[in-house]
Amino acid sequence: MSKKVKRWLLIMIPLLLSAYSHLWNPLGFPAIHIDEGHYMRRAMLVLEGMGPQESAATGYPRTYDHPYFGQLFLAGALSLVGYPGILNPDSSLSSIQELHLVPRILMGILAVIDTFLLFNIAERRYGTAIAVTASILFAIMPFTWVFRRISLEAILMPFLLTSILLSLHVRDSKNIQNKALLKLESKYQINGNVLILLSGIFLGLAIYTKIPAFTMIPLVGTLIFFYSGKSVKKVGIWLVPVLIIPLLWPLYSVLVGQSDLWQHWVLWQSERDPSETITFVSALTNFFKLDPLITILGISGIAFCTIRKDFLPLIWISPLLIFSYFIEWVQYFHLLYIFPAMCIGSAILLDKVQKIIARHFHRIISYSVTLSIIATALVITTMLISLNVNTSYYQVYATIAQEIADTSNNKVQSNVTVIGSHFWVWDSYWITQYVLDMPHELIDPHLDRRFKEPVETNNVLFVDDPIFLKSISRKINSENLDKIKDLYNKSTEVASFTDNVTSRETNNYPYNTLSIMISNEGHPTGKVAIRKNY
Amino acid sequence: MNLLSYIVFVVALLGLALVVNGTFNHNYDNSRPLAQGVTEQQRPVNTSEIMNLKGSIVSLQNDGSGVPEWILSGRWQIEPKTDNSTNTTSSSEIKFTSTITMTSIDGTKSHKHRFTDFMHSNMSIQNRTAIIKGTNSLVTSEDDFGLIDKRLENVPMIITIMNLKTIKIDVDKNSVKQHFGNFPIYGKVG
Repeated sequence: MSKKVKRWLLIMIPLLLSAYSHLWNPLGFPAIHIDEGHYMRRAMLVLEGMGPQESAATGYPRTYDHPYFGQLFLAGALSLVGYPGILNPDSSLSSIQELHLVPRILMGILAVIDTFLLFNIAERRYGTAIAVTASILFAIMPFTWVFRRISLEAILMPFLLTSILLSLHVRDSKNIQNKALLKLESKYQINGNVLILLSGIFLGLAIYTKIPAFTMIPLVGTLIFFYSGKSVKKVGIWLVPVLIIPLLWPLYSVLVGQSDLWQHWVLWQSERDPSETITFVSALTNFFKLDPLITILGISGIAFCTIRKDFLPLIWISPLLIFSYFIEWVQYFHLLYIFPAMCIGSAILLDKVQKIIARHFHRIISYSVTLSIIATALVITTMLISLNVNTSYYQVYATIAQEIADTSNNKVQSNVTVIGSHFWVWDSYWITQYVLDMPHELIDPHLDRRFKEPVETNNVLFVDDPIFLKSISRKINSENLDKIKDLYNKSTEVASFTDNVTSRETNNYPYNTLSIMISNEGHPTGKVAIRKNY
Repeated sequence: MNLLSYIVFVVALLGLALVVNGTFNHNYDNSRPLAQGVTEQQRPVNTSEIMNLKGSIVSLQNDGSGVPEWILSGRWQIEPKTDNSTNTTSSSEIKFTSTITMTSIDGTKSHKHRFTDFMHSNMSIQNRTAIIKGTNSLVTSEDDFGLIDKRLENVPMIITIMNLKTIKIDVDKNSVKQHFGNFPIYGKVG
């Protein structure tokens, strides 16, 4: 078997595992996150020709909270397959599920690409053996389920990893002594400056997806510096796209005369007060609870690398951790950037352990540690990804869509206000409003805490859950709230469901994941009833 | 630079051009507000929003050396003033009432105050801050210490409502013999 074939066969192992862990049962696990609704809504706006900046008048009031590449990429990728039109969407349960399935498959494919990129990064830097282990860990360690969600971190990850990979391929042509080799390389390989620019473009796009990706500048910048023969000039070339591409975001706000709003929401985003459950420490704790194995192995591996004076994994994780420490408002999925570094660190440590065992025992035995970790991770990941935690979510969503559509009279209710908890009001918006073209108003007691927005339609649809009931039971002096209560009391229940996200929740690992998975997003659990007054 | 490098470079530039085009080239409607939250926070308060506000008193009163001595708690309310003869409510004249319980920090002493018969003299609004001036009667009960009269008439006070979220009640110190210390009484809306 040739070396090339052997290498591709080795790559296929993590890729197949990654395809399994990221593409199996995408509808069932993990629970739909509120942010998935936000990002899909913004992608729908782009697909409708409304651009990447949504207006508070028709969308989410917290505008200018993130740059635009997330929605541009999602919209671009989804439009390539003719989404959503190709699905002939309607308000049926199966259609609602299909509409969620396609973007989640896209995220799964991105995760498989991430696995491939991580293999190449680790191989370039540390060799094939470590690359195989690192990419397998990336593919199947339990924390990897976070990549299954539609999140900005997951969208930017392939761009970030590509930037890192390209920086590792930058060559210092001055130091290549063999002129014949240099000539051969110059014919078949991409020019070093082009690689540097490409690396900068990809990191720039990652930052243009989500600003905290800028914490990867020290990592990629350092790699460019050392791999280009300590050339400051080349780092300067690399920095141009890294800085200019994200500047499209404030530039846009300046061009439309809204730089003050841009400044307001950027400051709001960076100064969000940490709550009891959203802190840097709680994010680290949840990271550990979700995947204790990779946390312990990863930290030990990175420490081991640092002792060996290999600072790559440390430079990968430290700027983000320092940034998160100061930002304070951090959740576990914000730490996704460091997961690949944890996998590389773990792989280096496991490789060392393997070599020590091989020296003292048989070579086959030396693989036992790594294989048992992989087997354990595979079992845990399988236990999680085979769960169906979104069954009631799709049922509630389909019912909302059907009630707005008012299929009994075969006409669309053009004058409906949906009132419910923050989670339901926004998560159920993008399909009904933009895919099914059923315009409706909404009132969100989370953002309109004092009920200043009046109900201006005759028809009101309530999504009644414990969080919503708590919000309307508050003692607030508001005529609008009084009217909402009155409408609520006069409404009739058309359907009810029991949220099943945490039905398998136990204190035992890995089912403790379920409550962490929906923490801090106002996901109501328990009975969800759909009521209407028409 | 070889051909492959040129091709890759051109493809990268085309990709970037697509991103720039996606960012700027669309049917954007500039007339729409972009942030209800911002406009809400920047919008000046109007008189009608001050009417019918109510909330709680949450304050501490320090002694002369700055050590907390009394805990002030209670309720307050602003209503439009009603003309009893015509049974109509005023759109600009207001009525302020409040009940305050003062409990010593060690929990051994407690007495109650009631602000009533508010005589509104002036109200001004600067952006999101409303300042209401007037006089009130201060009725005290369960005061075993004789520090203040049972009823004090025409006590000048300045009420400040900030961002429709908090209230500051400045009671004329001399009129109440510094009964509420050297600092205003604070509270919350809602």
